[in-house]
Amino acid sequence: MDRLTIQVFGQLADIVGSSTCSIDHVADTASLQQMLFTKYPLLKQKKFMVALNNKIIKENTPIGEAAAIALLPPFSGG
Amino acid sequence: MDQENRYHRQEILKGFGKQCQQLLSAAKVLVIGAGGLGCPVLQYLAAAGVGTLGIADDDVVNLTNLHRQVLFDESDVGQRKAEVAAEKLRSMNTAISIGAYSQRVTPQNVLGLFEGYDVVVDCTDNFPSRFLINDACVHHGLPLVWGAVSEFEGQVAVFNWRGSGNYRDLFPEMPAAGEVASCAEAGVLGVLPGVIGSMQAIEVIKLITGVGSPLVNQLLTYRALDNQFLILDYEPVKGTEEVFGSRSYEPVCWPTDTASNGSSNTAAHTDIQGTTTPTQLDWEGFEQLTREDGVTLIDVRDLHEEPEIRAFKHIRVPLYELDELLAEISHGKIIFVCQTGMRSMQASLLAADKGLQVFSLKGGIQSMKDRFETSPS
Repeated sequence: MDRLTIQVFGQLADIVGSSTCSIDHVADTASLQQMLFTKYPLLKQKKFMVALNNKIIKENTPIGEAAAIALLPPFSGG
Repeated sequence: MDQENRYHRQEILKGFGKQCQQLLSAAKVLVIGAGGLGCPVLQYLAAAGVGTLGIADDDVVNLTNLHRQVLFDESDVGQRKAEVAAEKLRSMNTAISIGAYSQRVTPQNVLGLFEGYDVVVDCTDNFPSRFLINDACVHHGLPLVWGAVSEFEGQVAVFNWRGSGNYRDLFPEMPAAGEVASCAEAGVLGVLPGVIGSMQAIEVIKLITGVGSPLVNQLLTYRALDNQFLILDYEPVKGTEEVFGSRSYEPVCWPTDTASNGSSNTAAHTDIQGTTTPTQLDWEGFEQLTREDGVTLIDVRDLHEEPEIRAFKHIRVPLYELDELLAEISHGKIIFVCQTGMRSMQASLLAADKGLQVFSLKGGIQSMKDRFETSPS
């Protein structure tokens, strides 16, 4: 399967080093999180939402091919 | 002045008409925070003819506000925002009624402030206020039009509309201390809150008039740098208990000089979990410590960031690569620096977890550029 491209928003991009990152395809969102934490340990300290195909995911969900993934932190600024 | 034609251009809109205009005129909207988001929200709602507007803000106009808070001008610096905003809006539209509350929302006053309003708009700049306002809206059964910005990005959502999801369905708990940088720390492009605030004003008008479909159970995100707009769906968590009154809304941010409620505290302190948080250093403490033996200075900024440090011996390792380096350091003191003091604090937390004695320069390199750029003589 193709690699997964992930859109990274806000200050999470400082951790990942860019506003997109790419990882090997994983089966589901739980493995995705695991993979991200291994690659970017600082993410463990952050609260963020995971969106899969434009839906915010709370429970483990299978990731199909050509999935659109986004990591979104909360913003407080006004 | 004869006001009859005032709203002509929006009254002739298909599906809007005089009827929607009357709904706006009868509506009462409370805007909390008269800053970057609050200014456009207030200006557009006043211009659109929302009959009653409340403005709650305890702050005064600061020179650093003017690049984004377009209701204010230089002569307003030092004046109370709520009062200045109310005065300007009254001259924009004499037919509407405007109330100014120069106070901070607190668990004690929030329900009283909400009394009589139909819609609340969250334009605040900190998490405690945002969670408080959300919980109070759920408690009071009021719809909340929410917006937030950071750097070049923004988010918009409508919460608690006819039983819809609310802020805690997206973020159940407040982020921990220092997890998210504020605009004062990370910066914000001046126009950005203009975009997000304008979208909030549109959502308010949609709720009042029933025109279109508001961002219910959806979060809109906007990134200005590449014009990325996403609308993300979410499902409200079913059967959650109401939390207003049972949570603490104490500020969870690290003290910074720029935060409105900030106090100057550089000593290490113990948080509720009983673990020691890293020590924040002021310039004197920093300079003194760098003269000691066995101290490593680590710059955790990305490699492209300027200015380069010339005045101190240091290692440069971007935050996201720090883990590998830390695995090699087993003892000694480490001082972390970054541009603003936020990433260095994150780095400190990471290193403190490994049992190292760590320090972070408060305010970062940005606050004392010259002292870092100069080569040692």
